Amino acid sequence: MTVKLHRAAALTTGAALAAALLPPTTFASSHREAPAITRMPAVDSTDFYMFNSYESGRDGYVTMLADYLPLQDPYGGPNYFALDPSALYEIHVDSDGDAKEDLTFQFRFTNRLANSNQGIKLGIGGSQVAVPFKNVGPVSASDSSLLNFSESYTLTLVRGDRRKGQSSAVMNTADGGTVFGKPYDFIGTKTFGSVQGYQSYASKFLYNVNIPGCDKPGRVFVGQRKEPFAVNLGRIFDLVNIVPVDGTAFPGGIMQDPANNQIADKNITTLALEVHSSCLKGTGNGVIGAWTSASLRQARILNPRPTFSKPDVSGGAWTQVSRLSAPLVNEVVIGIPDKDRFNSSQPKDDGQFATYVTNPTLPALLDVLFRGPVNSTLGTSFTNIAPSNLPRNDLVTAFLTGFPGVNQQSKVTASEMMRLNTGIAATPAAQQSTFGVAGGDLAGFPNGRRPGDDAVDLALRVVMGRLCYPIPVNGTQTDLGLCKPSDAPVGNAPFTDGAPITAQDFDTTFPYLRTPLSGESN
Amino acid sequence: MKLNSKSRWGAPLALLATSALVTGCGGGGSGSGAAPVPQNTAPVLSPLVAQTVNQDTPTPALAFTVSDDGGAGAVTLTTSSSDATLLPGLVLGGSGGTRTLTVTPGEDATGTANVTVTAMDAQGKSSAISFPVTVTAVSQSIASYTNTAFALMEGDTPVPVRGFTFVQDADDDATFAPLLQ
Repeated sequence: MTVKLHRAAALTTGAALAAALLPPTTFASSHREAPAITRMPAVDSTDFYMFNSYESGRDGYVTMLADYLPLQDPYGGPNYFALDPSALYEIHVDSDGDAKEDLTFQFRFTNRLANSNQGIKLGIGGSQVAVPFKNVGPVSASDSSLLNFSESYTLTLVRGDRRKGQSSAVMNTADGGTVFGKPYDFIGTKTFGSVQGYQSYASKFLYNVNIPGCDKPGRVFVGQRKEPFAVNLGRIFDLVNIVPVDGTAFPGGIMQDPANNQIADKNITTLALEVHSSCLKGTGNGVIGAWTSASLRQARILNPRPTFSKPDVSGGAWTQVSRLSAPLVNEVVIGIPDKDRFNSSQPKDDGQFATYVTNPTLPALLDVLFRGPVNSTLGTSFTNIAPSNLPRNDLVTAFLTGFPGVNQQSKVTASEMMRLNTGIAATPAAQQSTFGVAGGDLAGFPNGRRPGDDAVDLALRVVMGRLCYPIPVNGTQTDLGLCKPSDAPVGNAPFTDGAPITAQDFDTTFPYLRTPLSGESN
Repeated sequence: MKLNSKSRWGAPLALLATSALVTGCGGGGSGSGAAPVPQNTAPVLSPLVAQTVNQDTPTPALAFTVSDDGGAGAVTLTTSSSDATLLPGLVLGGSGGTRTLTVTPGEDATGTANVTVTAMDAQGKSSAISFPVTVTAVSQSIASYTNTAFALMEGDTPVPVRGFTFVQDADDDATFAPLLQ
């Protein structure tokens, strides 16, 4: 019954209503995924995670991680990787399924130099001269006086429309303050003493916060972390310069190897927020939708005589330039003419992108690249390995509406959001399946997304037709009725990029993402 | 060309519309005996007049009529543009003898091109009408528009960029000096 209802919903919402995309596939989640956003890395969202907190003692909480500023080389001094003080970073939550935000958490940053924005100065030959670096000596949890640069931020909750709703400040439970600090990036172990020294320093910037209208306090942290995404990035975009099927099952296929993660030596900057589910569910069925976005003021004037505090002046209306929920959507689903428009769009308007989901191009590209090798290796004579069930209502179901009984909201609005059932208990890290729901772990992707979920492999398999074959549901192989095995000749193949990832690659406490890589040795 | 929601969904509809076959009853003959076989004549289209629109702005739905000795319902209409970059969007509407045509210019395109509507009956007789469509640029000073954008509040709707041909202002730091204060 559930399956039939689900299928009906998919068909109803499918080609005509359906909104946007699936996530699918692969590759670098959302790093530099659209032409225009590559010119604005500080507002380029790279990954969005949302899951029921699995830290011990945090039952009932939801963690949201919005990562920005992609592909940071840890040694990228002397200025490293500050966020944009003229930008508005947001995490939106839809509680009732209308694809419109009911809650928005807004982060706004301020940069300052020491010495009242004049910078640390040294006496040189009788003159006080500003130093050229952002740090001039050791920095520790107890003493950051030799740090020449600092970032702080405010966090505001808006209820209702993100631009017209009611806003109120999130406050530090310790002192009622509304300004929070962001740790400086991990320059190196000489500056911070050791990796442990940086960890101790950064931990000072984890705050317990009172969220207006919420009974239980939450937590917030913003700072540099080790890149959590794992992907065989360079080879994938070199016309998939691997055989993307698990080598243990397909002769010549790629073998699982951490060395295949070509972004393992990078850092990112995360905006991490933990909120009790009671504050997020609203009047819905307990399934919430969420996404992150970044906006800039529409007009920017370059200062012909720039100073640290005023290199330019921005004004006008907030204009969204980046958007992300499920991984890889904009990267490998949306056509290149529309990628930046997708970044500027909102889930409620996703119908404009429907064709990219219902008629995806990626399977066709993979068919061109791999049909020959597949046939020659397996002795088959497939004329096309791309799924033939067009429009792809299996993808609409998987990525635009959610699965009934798992992560579908009571009101179904086909739209590209991360959907999480807050009523499904978190799975402890040690028991998590990297394949999430498909691995029998209902607390994982696509029911939200945890850092240890292998979204690349999962998405690749789904786009090539995995849902046309029975999948394990509560231990029973179940035909979802969305399409048939004959629609997807290789839909049951173990597609992979060979870059494994598991929950063991992450911490088990908020903010879960690991200490960034040190600049002096990476 | 940048796609938008209308063109994404509109394009297939346009393709369908351009070859629409309108069904209906054909005209009946009259008389008795060995009446001569009527001579088939080409369909007749009412004329469409020259149009001028601003850039990135479609024409209104332009009304025209179709008639044929075999009945308008048996007539197939097709459209074409002498410059598909300037005028890529040609969408037929209506039915039977009462039809419309909406012309949408390409993004940022300006100039003049001819649009042709061709009518063909079931016997292959055809006729056509053509008319020019001129798309004019809407010039906008960057400095002026920037000041307009700056005047908006954070929560306002951003000013549109589509629909203008932006004019570079004089290279003068003073142009934006007030905004830098």
